[in-house]
Amino acid sequence: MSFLETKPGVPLLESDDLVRHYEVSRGLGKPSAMVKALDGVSFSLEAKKTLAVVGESGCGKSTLARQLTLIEKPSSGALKINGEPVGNLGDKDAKMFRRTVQMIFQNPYGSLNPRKKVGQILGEPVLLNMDHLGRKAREERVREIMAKVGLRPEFYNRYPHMFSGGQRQRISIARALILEPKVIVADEPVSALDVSVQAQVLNLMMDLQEEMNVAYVFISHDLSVVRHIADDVMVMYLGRVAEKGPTEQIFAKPLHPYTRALLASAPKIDPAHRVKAEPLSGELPSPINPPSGCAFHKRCPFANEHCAQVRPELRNFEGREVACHRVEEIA
Amino acid sequence: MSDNITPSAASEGALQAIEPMAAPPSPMRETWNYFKTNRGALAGLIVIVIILFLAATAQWVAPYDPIAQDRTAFLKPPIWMEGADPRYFLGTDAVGRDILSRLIHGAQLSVSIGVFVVILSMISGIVLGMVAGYFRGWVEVAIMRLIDIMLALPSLILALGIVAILGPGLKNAMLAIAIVQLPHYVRLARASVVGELNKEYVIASQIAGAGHMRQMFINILPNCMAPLIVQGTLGVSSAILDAAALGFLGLGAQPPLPEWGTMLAEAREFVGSAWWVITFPGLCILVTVLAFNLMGDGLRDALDPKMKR
Repeated sequence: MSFLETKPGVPLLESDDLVRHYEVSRGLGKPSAMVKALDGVSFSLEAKKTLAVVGESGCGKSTLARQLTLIEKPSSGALKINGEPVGNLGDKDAKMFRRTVQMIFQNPYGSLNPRKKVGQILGEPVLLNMDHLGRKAREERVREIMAKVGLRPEFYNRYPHMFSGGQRQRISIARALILEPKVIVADEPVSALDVSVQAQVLNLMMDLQEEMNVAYVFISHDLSVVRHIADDVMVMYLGRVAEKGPTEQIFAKPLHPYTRALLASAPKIDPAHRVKAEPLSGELPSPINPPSGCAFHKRCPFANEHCAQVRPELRNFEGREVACHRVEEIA
Repeated sequence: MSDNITPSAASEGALQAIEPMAAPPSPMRETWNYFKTNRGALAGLIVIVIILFLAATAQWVAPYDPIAQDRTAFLKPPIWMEGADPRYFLGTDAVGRDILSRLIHGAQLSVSIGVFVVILSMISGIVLGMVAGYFRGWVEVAIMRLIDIMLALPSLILALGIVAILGPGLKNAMLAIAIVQLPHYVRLARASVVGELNKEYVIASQIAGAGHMRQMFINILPNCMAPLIVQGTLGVSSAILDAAALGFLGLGAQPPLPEWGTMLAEAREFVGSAWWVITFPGLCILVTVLAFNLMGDGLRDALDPKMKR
């Protein structure tokens, strides 16, 4: 299975123009509409790195997570792991791929089966993917990972409802890590937690990244969290990438007007760090009927005629990629 | 919270392990605590336990053989009435059989009818509903429209039709009632599965590589059981009632089996002259059905999180 080997110079996970459209019926007699939830997203992720995906609700973050974990098949585009396209994997290889990409969920209350004990929840991936292990070895493995994420051994026989949100998220992290994946997709893993617990869980995730050599695709709308954890940031707007680049650069000098607005909307204690930008007006447009040209032009303070007609493609600018016609003038 | 951090856990990777919140009682225990505050449900449970006990020990508890005829005592009234035979507590029927013994043996029949019917329709209903809710698409349409057709027919008429095809008898009557009850379980199971299907724990198991069978029956089903258990309890009472109705119409248990509905049918002509022959089987049906309904209601309240304070 060549996709399990790391090749030098080839990124661990690569998404090439990933597209996911959903067909929605609009009632009897009317033609069904296309929701372009994900409309051509490309990125690459190196081993042990963290890529943060940010954007407001409905921009396609969670759809991206569903494609990366193979819950859904993309409408078009390719997903590659170690340079090997995932699309033409057989059933058996797809199962191996599953082992290399795992997921942590947003809601710590919905993501654990309420009728199963912690030991059973954590044992399930092992049972399904490492069938050579016996009952004893399986339990040992579960207890090992529990110790790693800071769960006490006596929690093994407890049910999820006996835990707080932060501990449930630890269980979730343990479940994602137990198969020793290469990539973990974390869909807003801390947004449902208290701020004090958020920090604990984030630090745990960063420690485990060091220890277990995993790469994270970290989906979030909380920019302070992103700044803390991510190496690279990808800003999404309406299913497309608006801006992509190293975290420090993007936070220091956001280029895309949407990134600016996003950063300006995050509260800062120090006034010197505040990004000055006009607050955005209007709502995220409907992905069924996206605006012509640049999807952002109706809310953009810099938009002109050209923006309304021609869709901007991602291009390199000052060491990162931006999808904006007027980036030179804005910068 | 700092006093809850144990040194052993803190030393492991410098991670803080927090004490779990004051452990809530286990789901079973919690359900029982809610259940026992409902007096009607508790009374129902007690009656059901008594009936189950009588049914299980009918051979030893019943004073006489239920089909033995005493030619010296036809239509004797219960012992507190004038002209009663002291040997027969609730009197005798038209062919001199002890009514009390027949009722006790009838409990055996009714309970097994109720339990058998519920088990049969519950299992097949869960499988059908599960498949419909899990796979969606045309499978769901096919199953659910069929169920809708079954629901459109009045239940007793449908049961009568099935018995007419299969031939009268207790076994066929039970089968017919099981088929009639099927739609309730299919609909309930499907609705709960659809609700559970989008929960993240199902997706998590899918990412872990769980197959369809495992998803349906190991991961999802246990989370859908609460409404099905309630429906099952209520289903026992309606199965008993339907069996009695079929027995009364001569299509269920055949004489001389002491089934309560059949007893009613046999006693029809004595309604004016010997009230006890028809009253006691009727009362038995009433009390049993009422007990199961009360318990089912209590169970529903206890298992439904929205009803809890």
